[in-house]
Order: sequence, then C-alpha cells, then structure tokens
Amino acid sequence: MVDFSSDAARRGFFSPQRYDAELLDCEVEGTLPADLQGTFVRLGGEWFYPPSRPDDAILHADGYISTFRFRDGRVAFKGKYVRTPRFKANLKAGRQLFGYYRNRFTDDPSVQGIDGTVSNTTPLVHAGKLFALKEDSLPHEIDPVTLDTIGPWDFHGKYRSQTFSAHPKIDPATGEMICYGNEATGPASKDVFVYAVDRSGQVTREARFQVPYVSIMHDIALTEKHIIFPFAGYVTSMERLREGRIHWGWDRTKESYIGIMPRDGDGRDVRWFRGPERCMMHTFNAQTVGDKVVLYAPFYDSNFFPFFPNVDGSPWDPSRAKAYVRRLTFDLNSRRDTWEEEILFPTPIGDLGRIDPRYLTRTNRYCYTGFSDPTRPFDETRGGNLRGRVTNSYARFDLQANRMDRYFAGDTHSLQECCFIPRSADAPEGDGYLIGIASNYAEMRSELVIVDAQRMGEGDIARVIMPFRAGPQVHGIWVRHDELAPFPKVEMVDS
Amino acid sequence: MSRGKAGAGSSVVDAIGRRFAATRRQVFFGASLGALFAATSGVAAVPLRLPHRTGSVLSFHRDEPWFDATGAAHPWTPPDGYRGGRIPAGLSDEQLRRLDCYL
Repeated sequence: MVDFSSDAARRGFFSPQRYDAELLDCEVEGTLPADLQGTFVRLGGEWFYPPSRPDDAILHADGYISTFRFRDGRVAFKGKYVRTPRFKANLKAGRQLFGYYRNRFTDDPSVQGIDGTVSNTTPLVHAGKLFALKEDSLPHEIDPVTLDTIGPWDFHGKYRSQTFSAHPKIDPATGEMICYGNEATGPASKDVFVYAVDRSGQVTREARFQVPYVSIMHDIALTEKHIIFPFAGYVTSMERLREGRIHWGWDRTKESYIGIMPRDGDGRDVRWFRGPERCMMHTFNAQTVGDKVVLYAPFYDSNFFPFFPNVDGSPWDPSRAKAYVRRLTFDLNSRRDTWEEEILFPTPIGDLGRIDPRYLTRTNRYCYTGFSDPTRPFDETRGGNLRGRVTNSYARFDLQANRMDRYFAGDTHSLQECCFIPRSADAPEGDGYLIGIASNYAEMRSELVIVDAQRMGEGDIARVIMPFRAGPQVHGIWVRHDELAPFPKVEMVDS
Repeated sequence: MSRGKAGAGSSVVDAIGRRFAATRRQVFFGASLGALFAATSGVAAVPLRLPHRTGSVLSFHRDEPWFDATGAAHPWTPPDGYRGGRIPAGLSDEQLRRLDCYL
C-alpha cells in the first residue's frame, strides 16, 4: 500500500501526485507567439513511493520527464515517469527498495545488482537522441515520440565511465559534446573520465585524471580552448557509505578547486587552482581571452543543500546558502594557483543560471536566473506566508551595461528554472523568450509563463494554465522543431 | 485557446467578466489613482459613512475581478485545501529546502 501520511510536510502544494499525464490542447491566457515552434522539455524528481529514509535528499526522487510542445499558437503537455530499472523494481515490489541518496549499502538486498539511478536532473538532445541525465549513471535514452524509456546509452560501448554528467556542454559552433563522469570507477573514487562526442554521436576522444579530493562535480564550463572543472566542499568516502550515511557531507574546511584542461589536452594537462569555501554547483559561461580564462558562475558562499549535512555536526546555515553572479578570472601565465573573484551584482540569486545557448564558449552579454525579490508582495491570505522564501522573479543580468531587468510572476507564485529561447536562429543575443513553470500556491496548480526577454518588466505575454501541478523541475531545455523531429506525438496533430 | 469557466451561472459571470475586462493590477492601479485624487482634493478629510454590509464584494480569481453570482456577496476563496502554500508556510527554511531545494 502506498502511504505518504507519515510525512506531514508533504501536504498542500507538495502532496504527491504520481501521475503520467497528457493534455492535448492546453488552456492559454494571452497569445502564444507564432514563432514559438518546438518543445520545452523538463526533467525533475517526484517520489513515486515514499523515501525509505525520511531525511533522504529530494535529489533522490524518481525522474519525471515532461514536455510542452508548441505548434501554430497551441500547446500540448505530456509527462511520464522515467522507467529506470529502479522505478520498475519498486513498482514490482509495491514499495521503496532503495535507501539513502547514492548509498547502495542502504538498499534492500534484493536490488543490489540493479542500477539505482533516478534519471531526474537534465534532459539532453544530441545526435538525434533524447536523454534523461543524472550524474550517478549512464544517460537514459527516451523515445521522443512517446516519452517511453528506452534504456541506458553507452555511446556504442566507447563511453567507459560508470557515471555521466548532468551538464555536458555542446559547442554551438561544431555540435561537439564535451561530457564527463565523476567518481568514474565507482562510488568515492577520485577518477574523472572526460569525453568528446562528435555531432553524429561518436566518441572521438577520452581523457582521464584524478581530483585532489572526491566531491560533487555537478557542472563544468567550456570555452573555445578549455574545459573548466569546479568542485568544492562536499565530501564522501567508502567509510562514510559503509556507515550507512547519505552520499555527501559538507566540510567547510575544504578548499574549493577548479581544474582547467585544454580541450585538445589530456589528463596530465589539468592545472588546479584553489580558492576559499564555496558551493560550486552551476555555471553560466566561460571564455578564453588571451592567457586568461574568465568564468561566470552563480556560486554559493557555502552549503546549499540541507540534506547533505555538515560533517562537523553544525546545523545548516541558510544565511550562508546565498549565490551571486560571480566572475572568476584565471591567469594561465601566472604561477599563482588561485583566481580573482568578483561579485558583479549584489542581489542574491538562485543558481540555476542560463544563457543564450548559441553563445556558449563565446563572450555573452546576458545571464538569466530566478531570484526572490523581497520588494514584491506575497498574498498571504491566498497563498500562505511564503514572502521572501520563494523565487518570485526572473532576472536578466546585462554584463555590459551592469544592469538588471526583472520579471515578477505574481503574488501567489514561485518560479522554477527559466530557459532562454532565441526568437530565431539568427536573432541577436537576448532577442527571444524566457519560459518557465510558475507554481500557483493559491490555486494548487502550475502555469507555464512565456516572457519577452527584452521586455521583462512588462509581464508575461502568455500563460499556459494547467489544471494540476507540473511537479518539481531541476532543469529544462528548449528543442527547436527543426532540431529533432517534432515531439512528442500529439493526437490529431500528428495522426 | 480557451478561457476558464466559473461553473454554475457562468454565463452571467462571463458576461460581467467581458464588461469588466480589467486585470487585477489595472483595478488596483485605478483604485490607487482614485485614492490619490481623493487625498489631494481634500475629500478624504470628510468622514465617510460606510454601510455595515455592502451589496457586493470585489475579489479576484485568475487575476480578474470575481463577482459572486449567487447574490450572497461572498468573495472568491479557494476551496478548502486549495491554499497550497498554507502548509509550506509553516515550515522552517531548512524544512522547505528539504521538500524542494529549487523553490
């Protein structure tokens, strides 16, 4: 029997939904732009069975892939759980068989040989395939027509790391994908394997190196010449896992590290730079400028995740879990092993940062992310007192003009990660749309907002009104209709 | 493309809705201008006698004015249990982030 009643917090807006769903022709307020032709793909986690440990990480919830397909001013929604081996094993047993986040010692003995990934982090389209990614296993291929799960993909046997990344980078100039596996040879291993995969999906290069200490390496950055590998603070070990604890802990005494490797180099060419305590999860973009590498990233001051406890036993400190738009400059000509860091805007932000994907590796002007604007109202009567505690706005940071533009979603809303959609293939940078899911706490449902990215202060130009909650999202991507055959299949439209 | 319906009596509500095709923000903006005008013209200094119970109550649903079609003059309130933020609002920052770290 499925029973979530032991978790009092998982009520109201966070009560379990556990559905596969399809809306053939969604309700829309406003007018969808005619040039919005493609699919917004989201991936996130939603517990299908309650976690076996009540303090487990939400990052361990079952992967759920969903799509909004836009065509001729109409939009259709489809969502499905990713049928990982773990999901299927749980469904067969009718209960949660898996233990703490990425600790196989805490799993039920019956699933020891089963891939434990939940594939819940980032959707990816490359070489004509759609994938669901999580950094603890191989990509899971998804049928774009049906959103059914096909299974793990190892790039014709040429990808040898046990793990993949939630954030591979695709060079917009060549279509080449740079991807990697952290803890590549098993849990708590120091090994990192890096791969180049050409636009046809063939592995062309592999590099291997070891990190100074094992940590989360959730995202990288890519320039035209270099790959940048940041990690900091989080620690694990086989001893920790054998003790039955959650995979990661936070050690504030650990220095942060950033490795820089030439794209045509190998593991011996990685140069490590060291810095102060930081929580480095996501990046915006990076460039190689002469002998310098410049990285833009929304790094946190300290541990962002309360479910990855401090190893010194101190409580999680929300006042230090603050992220800012930062610029880190590395002088490759200097013997110094650290970087110069600047906070470019004083506003605390969410770290799910995005850019115009056509400008990856190149100098870009705009960065986008969500943030909590305390100056905007929150309707406590209708939505509960969440003022200042939820992401109620999107921001566009203009790195050239040092200017911040804002979009406010509403006084009972919070926003999930935004995604930038260029208006056309040859539109100037910043000319396009921001798209993202807004949670409407007053009405217990979600809305997909579409915002003109150059007129954010004017509000959204359209909202897709959903009759239910869209579920948590970690990351989303926009797939042009000419990038992959229009997907998923929609009744009457494609029949 | 479609608009939400208000249930029983929706044709009346729709008709009113079309007549008052203003968003919540526009209504508040208008009310603010009215208040500003009243304050600057001295009208506000005159004691106002408000009826104990007004004949209509203005509220909002989906960012548009809502008029209770039953005549009972009830404002729109979400059905019981629909205030999805009520339970999360009672949680600490840590409990909230444990539920959904990307709120």
